Amino acid sequence: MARIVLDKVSKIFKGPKGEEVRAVNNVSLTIENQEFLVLVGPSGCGKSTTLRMMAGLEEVSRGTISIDGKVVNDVEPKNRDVAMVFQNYALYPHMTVYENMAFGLKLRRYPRAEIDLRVSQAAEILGITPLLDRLPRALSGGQRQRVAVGRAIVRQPKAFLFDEPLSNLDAQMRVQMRMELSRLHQRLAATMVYVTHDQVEAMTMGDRIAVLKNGEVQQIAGPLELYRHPVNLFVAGFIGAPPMNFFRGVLSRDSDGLHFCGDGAPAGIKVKLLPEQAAQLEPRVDNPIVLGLRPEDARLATDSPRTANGSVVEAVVELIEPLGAETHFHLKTGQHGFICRMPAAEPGKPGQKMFVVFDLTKCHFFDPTTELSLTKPR
Amino acid sequence: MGKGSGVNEGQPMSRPRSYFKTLAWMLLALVFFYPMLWMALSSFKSSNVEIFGHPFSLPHQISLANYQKAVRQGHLGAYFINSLWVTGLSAAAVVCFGAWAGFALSKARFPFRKFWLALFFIGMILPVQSYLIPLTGLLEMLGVHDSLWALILPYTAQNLPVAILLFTAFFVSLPAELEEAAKLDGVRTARFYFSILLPVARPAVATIVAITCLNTWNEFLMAMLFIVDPAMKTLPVGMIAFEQAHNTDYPALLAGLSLISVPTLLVYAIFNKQVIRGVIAGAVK
Ligand SMILES: Nc1ncnc2c1ncn2[C@@H]1O[C@H](COP(=O)(O)OP(=O)(O)OP(=O)(O)O)[C@@H](O)[C@H]1O
Ligand SMILES: [Mg+2]
Repeated sequence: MARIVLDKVSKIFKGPKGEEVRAVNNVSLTIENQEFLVLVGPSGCGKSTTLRMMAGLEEVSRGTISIDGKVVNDVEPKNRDVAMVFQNYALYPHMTVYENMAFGLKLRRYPRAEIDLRVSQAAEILGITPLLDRLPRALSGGQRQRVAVGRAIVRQPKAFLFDEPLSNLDAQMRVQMRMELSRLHQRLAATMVYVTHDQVEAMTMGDRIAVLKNGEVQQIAGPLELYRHPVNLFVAGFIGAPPMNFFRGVLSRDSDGLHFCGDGAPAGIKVKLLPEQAAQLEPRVDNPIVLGLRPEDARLATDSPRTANGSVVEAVVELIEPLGAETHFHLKTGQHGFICRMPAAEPGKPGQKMFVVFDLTKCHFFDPTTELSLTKPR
Repeated sequence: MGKGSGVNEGQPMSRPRSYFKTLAWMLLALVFFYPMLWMALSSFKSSNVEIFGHPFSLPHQISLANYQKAVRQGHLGAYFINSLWVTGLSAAAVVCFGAWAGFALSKARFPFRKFWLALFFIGMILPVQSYLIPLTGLLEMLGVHDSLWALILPYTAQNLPVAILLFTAFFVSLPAELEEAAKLDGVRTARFYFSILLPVARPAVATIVAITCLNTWNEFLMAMLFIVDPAMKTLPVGMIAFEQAHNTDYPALLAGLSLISVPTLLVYAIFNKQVIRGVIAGAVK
């Protein structure tokens, strides 16, 4: 079991013309003992590089990585006692499933009986006992991935590192393996770091999630915290599907208080801020601002609802996506397009005019230049 | 050969086209097969007259006399041993050094990598005739003139470029994660090479063994030029004994040649599948 600490870690690659490519920039990160931490971010944001530095497959350019308090920057991969599972499985093609799992133990000169025991236990956990004598090429993708995980388990390492282990599987298999890996984490109570660009995987599996962009950590938090209180525009837009709606506009003062006015007025959006929001955003009056609203935090109505005070917006339906359990309405108001997530039975058709009620308590506000969130979590 | 050719299995082909294709393959097979057939057929005939008078007739009587003559007069036994040594050692050396160099060229980073690759490539396209004379001098300098080493060394050198390029291509095509997984498992470079890379490269090894064996077993020019000592001759050169200015003993010569080609055919039969797989593996990625 292990606690992994990254302290201001950077990785600088030499590009083809000798220029510097900053793949990872000043990342500080603590993975607690027995924690399941997910590194998530768009392609090329440095997730793999970060993970590979933990494994020792990539040198650290700056900063330190320590495992259980010991700096491991110069420790060889095999002496770090971590196991890694790769996206393409990387099984030894000429060895049977059993040999694949036993190979690392053999090299470490474990006694034969111990190897047998560990391999059969791991195979049992993963449900691959009947496959032990097969070669990798005679396995399906999901089975190969299980063997790759088994190869990691048998070593009983301090930490497991996963680099997009499920992305080569089909959707169904992915859901199943996702659950199995979560269960495995509970069962082994091991430290796990999991890289993915799939935010569903991140949300469902992670104890905590670190969102990366351009080699920098944007936010580290639990899944719900991340969803409810994203610290900036990027995190707000990255976590959640369909993504959060953003409206660009300005903050303006009326006789009855502070309003958010969407760009492209008068046809645009005008909503009245709640008193505590107004208090927080007071200094930004007459400045541009971005309003963020999750698709499920707006309600649709065919008649103008009387109850809502100043938070109703008129919109035209552009597209309706029925998903069964829910329906996504793609709407347009002036120049602003947005998505509204409604219960399945919601009536409506494209071209129809509708009223949208914003749930103001769930609104997020962002500074358009720094992209940082302006609303403090309550 | 023949039907299917495997490649187009997925797509249905119209009947006439598939017949045409089969026919074309069979014709091609015939073109390659007929000289061998003629050789085998003639090796049982009793005289030059019978061979050239009726080239395609069956022999009057099947007799192994020609074969006995070839083995005895042609010293086939001794030459066979020589050829075996030369071919075996050359093939072993080519695989050893070829895989080694391929490993380095594909995995290690060192200066002028591209230059070395290009150098080996040049080795592949140089014709033998262009370096025969300096090679003679070199072999004399090395003191291996007129010994089997005078063949083993040049054969190895001659077959290495293809081996190096094939192994390099093969190793490059392997995913980098294989090595990284091994690293995490605690494998050192040498161990990785022997217990993972070489076994995985079996198709490439088979290809190189087969190609080298065929090349060296049949090599004639260098074998004739560099070996004077009759005890050191290899099979193809040994066959010249039957060829005299006005009185070549064709039945015995063809019997000898038939015998010589048996191992070649065997090698091909054994490695056939792997060679094709190896060539494809090297070619596709
Ligand atoms: N060996 C290398 N040499 C030069 N640049 C590299 C090297 N490896 C990665 N990079 C660069 O570093 C950046 C981060 O790469 P990394 O593989 O960590 O991304 P990632 O987040 O894992 O992306 P993906 O989701 O596509 O796997 C990329 O811009 C990439 O081009
Ligand atoms: Mg990656």
